Amino acid sequence: MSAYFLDSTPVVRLALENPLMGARYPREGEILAVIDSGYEGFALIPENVFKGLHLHQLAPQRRQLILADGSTRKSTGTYAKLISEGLDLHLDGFVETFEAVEEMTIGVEFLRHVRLELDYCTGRIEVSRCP
Amino acid sequence: MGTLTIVLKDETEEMLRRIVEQLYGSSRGSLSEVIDKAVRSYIARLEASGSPKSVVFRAFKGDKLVSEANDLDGLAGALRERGVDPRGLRIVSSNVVRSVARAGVRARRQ
Repeated sequence: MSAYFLDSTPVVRLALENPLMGARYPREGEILAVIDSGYEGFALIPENVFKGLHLHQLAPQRRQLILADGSTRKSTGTYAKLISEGLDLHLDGFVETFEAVEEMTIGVEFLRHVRLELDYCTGRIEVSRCP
Repeated sequence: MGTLTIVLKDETEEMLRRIVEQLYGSSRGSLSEVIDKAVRSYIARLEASGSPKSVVFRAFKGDKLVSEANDLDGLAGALRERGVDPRGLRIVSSNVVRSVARAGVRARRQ
C-alpha cells in the first residue's frame, strides 16, 4: 500500500531524486511523507535529506514560510523529483528545507497533480495522477 | 454541430442516463446537452490545472541560460550531453515559486 493513514494522518510512500546530480533518497525503497493540505508548497524535507540529495550543491532559492503560529522562517530550495512507484507518480517540483524540519511533508503544489480521496470511514486513501 | 460515436463503460452510461433523466427528464437532445457541458467542464479543469508538458525547467549559470527542458530528467540529459557540471547551477521553473507560502501545521519552530 503506497498511501494510508498512520494514526489518522494521511501518509504516502515516496522516494526523492535529484536527476541533475544522479542522487536518490533513500537509495533503496521509499520513505513516508505526510500529506498536509495546509502546506502550500510541493515538498518540505529535513536538511539531512536535502543534503543527501546534493541539492545544496545547486544554487539555492530562498523564500519565506509562514508557520502555524504566525512566525516566519526562510527556506532554502531547488527542484527535485518525487517518485512513488506504487502510485506510478513521477513529479518534478520545488523541494525546500529549513533547520527545524524533521519529517517529509508534501503539500498543495504536489496535490495539484493528483486526485486524492481520503475516506476516514473505511480508513482508505486513493491517490491517482490527474488525467 | 458534430456527431460523434463513442463507447462508454456500462457503469458510466448508467450514471449518465440517470443524471440526464434527473435534470431534463426524457426531452430530446438532453443527452447531448449534458455530455457537451461535461466535456467543456473537464477541458476547462485540465487547462486550469496546467499541462505538465507546458512546464519548462531552465538551468542558469550566473545569468546565462545553459539549457532547458520540459522535465528534470530531460534537463539532466541535456546538461550531460553538453558536458556541463550541474554544481552551482540555478534551476528555474516556468511555474514560478511564490516568495511567501504557508508551511502548514506540521512545520514547527526549533
